[in-house]
Amino acid sequence: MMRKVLIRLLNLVPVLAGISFLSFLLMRLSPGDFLSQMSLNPQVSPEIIAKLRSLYGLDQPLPVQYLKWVEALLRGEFGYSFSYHVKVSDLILSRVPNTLLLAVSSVILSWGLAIPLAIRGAMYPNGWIDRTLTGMSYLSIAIPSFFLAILGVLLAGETGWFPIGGASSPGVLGESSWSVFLDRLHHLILPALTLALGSIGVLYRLMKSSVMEVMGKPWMTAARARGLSSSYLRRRYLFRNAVNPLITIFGFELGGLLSGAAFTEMVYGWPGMGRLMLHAVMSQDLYLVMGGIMTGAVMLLLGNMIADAFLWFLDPRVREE
Amino acid sequence: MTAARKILAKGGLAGKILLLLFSASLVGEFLVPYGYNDVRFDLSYAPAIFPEMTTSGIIVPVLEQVDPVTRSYRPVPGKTARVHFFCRGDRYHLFGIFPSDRHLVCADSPGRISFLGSDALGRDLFSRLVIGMRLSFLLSLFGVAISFLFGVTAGLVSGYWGGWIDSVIMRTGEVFMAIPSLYLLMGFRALFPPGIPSGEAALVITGALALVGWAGLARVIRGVTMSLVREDYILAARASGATPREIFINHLLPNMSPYLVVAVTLSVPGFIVGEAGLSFLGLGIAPPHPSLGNMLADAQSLTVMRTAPWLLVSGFLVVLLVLLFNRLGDHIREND
Repeated sequence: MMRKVLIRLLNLVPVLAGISFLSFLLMRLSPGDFLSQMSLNPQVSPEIIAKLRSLYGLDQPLPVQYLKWVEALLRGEFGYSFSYHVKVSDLILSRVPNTLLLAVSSVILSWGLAIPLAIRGAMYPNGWIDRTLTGMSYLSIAIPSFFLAILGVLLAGETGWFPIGGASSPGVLGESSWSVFLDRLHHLILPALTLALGSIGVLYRLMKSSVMEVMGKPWMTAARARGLSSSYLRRRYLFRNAVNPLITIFGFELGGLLSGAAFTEMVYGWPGMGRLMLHAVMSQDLYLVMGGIMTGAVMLLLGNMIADAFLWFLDPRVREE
Repeated sequence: MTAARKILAKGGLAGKILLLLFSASLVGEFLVPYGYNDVRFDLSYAPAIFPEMTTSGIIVPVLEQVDPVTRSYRPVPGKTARVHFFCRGDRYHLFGIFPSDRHLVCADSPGRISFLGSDALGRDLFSRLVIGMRLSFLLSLFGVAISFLFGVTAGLVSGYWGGWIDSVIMRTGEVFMAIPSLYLLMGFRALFPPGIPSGEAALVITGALALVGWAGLARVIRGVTMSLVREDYILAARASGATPREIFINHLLPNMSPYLVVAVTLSVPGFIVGEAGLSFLGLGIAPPHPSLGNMLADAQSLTVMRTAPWLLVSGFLVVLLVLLFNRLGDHIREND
């Protein structure tokens, strides 16, 4: 067991090295750096630019620069953000929890909605519930997250049910922690729901076909013939077997989810990684862009590993392999 | 042309609609009444103006602004403009080559024929939408072609030879797939300054989207190749001295064409949504050039959505195109 985990972790090393190399390449390939932007400023003398260049190692050959950057990465140093004037790692650490909060709550929402609905849909395939939901799942797959978010803004504006913009109301910080929590939740609902609605379609279709497949298995008939109650059967056998492919594609879905989260953040003004990345790209803040790519990749890889762990935990067949 | 005939024969309703939309958008400048940057400040956020049949011919009412703050309009009593067919209007180059100024319909100035309403600068939304849709089509076809070239080559090489080449290609692909696509897109976009002209931006976006898309495809093709390589006819071809290139082109590609067609169709939506998303964020096609994404970005604020809800149409068009392409892919898969 330990050996398997270790091998999995070791397999990550080349991928992480590749990602770091790719993001480094992206940064160094760009025609200018932040200093060339700064050198356009007449108030900054060429000497200062040259000094900064050597300070950040920009005058050294590329392989040296890459190794230096990797070494700094291993120490948790992502470099310095030139548009925010703070360390990139501080910026990222302040934004990652918001993105994770959004992503995790949308996963809870979409799985919590899709799984029971899919089981219901599979019980009566081509019933009116199933037909409505299948139709909606096509829509859910086709609608881009940013458009859904815009429609969400419209909904919030017309009904006044949800606050728009940011992750907290101004002035709430002085109040009790309970009202801070409620305020945060209130701001979270709409972005999380937007994101969840976008991924529910795939989940519904996959879960439904999986449930139908499991229901057709001979051991299901056998279990039913022995008089197991249908609710026990659903919980103990059907769910645990049918949820397997859902967890397997979780890693794949997560990439789309993080991208969707970035769009959602930008439309709703939720202070997460996506908005930070957009700002970084707009202001050509290259260390921040690279740090963002690395963080996105690490979030995705971690998500994959958690999915694998779940699968191992839920499915004895995976454990015995 | 054979591709078009195939879509008509095998694509079902979705294929027919898509083919119609695509061919219409190719001659879009002729079909729409105005140029994409025909600014009319007096018609900012004006609603749709439909032609009416009367005894004296087809006419449109002439609108005047009642309140410049709420942008409400009313028809000027007694004042109308005639609608003409095959008339002269804004200049354009058909297919980018033939100069012309003929339009299918237009209205005498100062009247305006407008099926979907106008945007903030009083430009006709319908005219912009058609041109933006063509950009989506062309960009995604071009992007799919590039990502296929790379993806299919990588997949074939990987699956055919295996060994260390396979490992290198697959590990590289994993690196690309381990980065959330929007993050990778933005990182690639950061290579270029934010305000590059639309033509270059279109190329950059296409490249970025192809960069994101090739890895997933390479994986699929690799799997198919690995199973096909074991077939007897490949063994026979090899034994009779066919070069790998001949095997790829004469045996492997034709045999995996059903997968390829479905994969092409199902990867188009990614490009359409990707272009729209990047342009929406201001990282893609820049105004005044219309794209489904940057037109939707105009509708972002709540006040604008309340004044001119028709600006959301470009978002609905993206949804429609994606639905149609998904349907087409499903249809081909089911009928093959």
